[in-house]
Amino acid sequence: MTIRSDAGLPDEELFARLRRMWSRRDPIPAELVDNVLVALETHDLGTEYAMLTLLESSGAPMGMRAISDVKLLEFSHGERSIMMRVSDLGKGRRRIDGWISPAAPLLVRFEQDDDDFTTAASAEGRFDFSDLPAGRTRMWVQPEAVHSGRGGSRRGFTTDYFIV
Amino acid sequence: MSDNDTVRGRPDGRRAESSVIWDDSAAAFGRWLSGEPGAMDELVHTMTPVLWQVVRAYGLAQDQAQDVVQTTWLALVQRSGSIADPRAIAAWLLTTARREAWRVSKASATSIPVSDEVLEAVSEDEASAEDVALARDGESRLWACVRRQSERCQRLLRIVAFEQRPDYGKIARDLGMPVGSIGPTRGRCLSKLREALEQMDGSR
Repeated sequence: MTIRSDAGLPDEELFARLRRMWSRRDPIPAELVDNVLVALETHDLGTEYAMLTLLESSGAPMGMRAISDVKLLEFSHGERSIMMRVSDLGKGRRRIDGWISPAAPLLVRFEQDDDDFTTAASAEGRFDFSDLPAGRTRMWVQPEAVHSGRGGSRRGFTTDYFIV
Repeated sequence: MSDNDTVRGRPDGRRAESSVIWDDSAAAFGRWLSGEPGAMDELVHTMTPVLWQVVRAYGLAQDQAQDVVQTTWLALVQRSGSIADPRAIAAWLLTTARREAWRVSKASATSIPVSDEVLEAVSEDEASAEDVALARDGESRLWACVRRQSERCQRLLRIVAFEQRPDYGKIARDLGMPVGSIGPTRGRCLSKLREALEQMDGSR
């Protein structure tokens, strides 16, 4: 036993040392605070985002074999549902066809790790990303007029991450 | 090795560190609710580093952890009106972040390795040669001992260290442990850590 042992510290001091250790060993990325602030600034605070639930995912995992792999995904929240067909274009590229029901001309944004892609659904609720990178994706569906001003009852939708 | 671990403990200044964070957060959030926009910046600066640590304890990769932290803040501004107790804003943020971290870690459990450069599961033999060499003073010794603990203990200790009033029920669920076992497990993990520290002292 030595005298200057950490072993004998009271819990709270040991936890304080652990905090300091982890803060130094795995520091917060330098840009994270700024990214959060920018996200908060640019976010439309008048819109609430309801979480769409993934109801169904069918089809073979992508990227395993030939060209004709197609995966179907269906999300819903209340009466709103969104179906998507994900087609493998090869070389890590995907085509997405989607249908929003009930039909509405909403903006659809696919947020991926490296980039964002936005398209507008038609009046019939159809949307299409003709060529996207495969990978982790999160969908945001926003009312079209989302950029202007505040408005109490607008509602958007979002999903968990899924893989296209 | 440029590990300059000569920081000596300043226990008096550290003791209340986490309650300061809670109080500052509550004050800033209160001012934001009453219409002072700059107060949100303060809250973000205060809580983001804590959220980062707790989210990373779930073994998420850097980019996933960043996403979870951002999602947590967006959830706050989207649901700010429905937060029952603004004084417990830190708890609300931590709970939201833990849930999201848990969900993301579940969703990607098959494709993302649980460990990363920090929580890397190192077998004891592998760890000891390197770690004992590193273990010259304070933080390095502590780090070496922490790395010898089970992954579960490492996570639990990290979460408990950064949450002032951890919700043991939810943490239990998130770590796949029986509810009610966290208190005793926390105790066991701490004891094991202390044992490892004593052993290291003994071998010096």
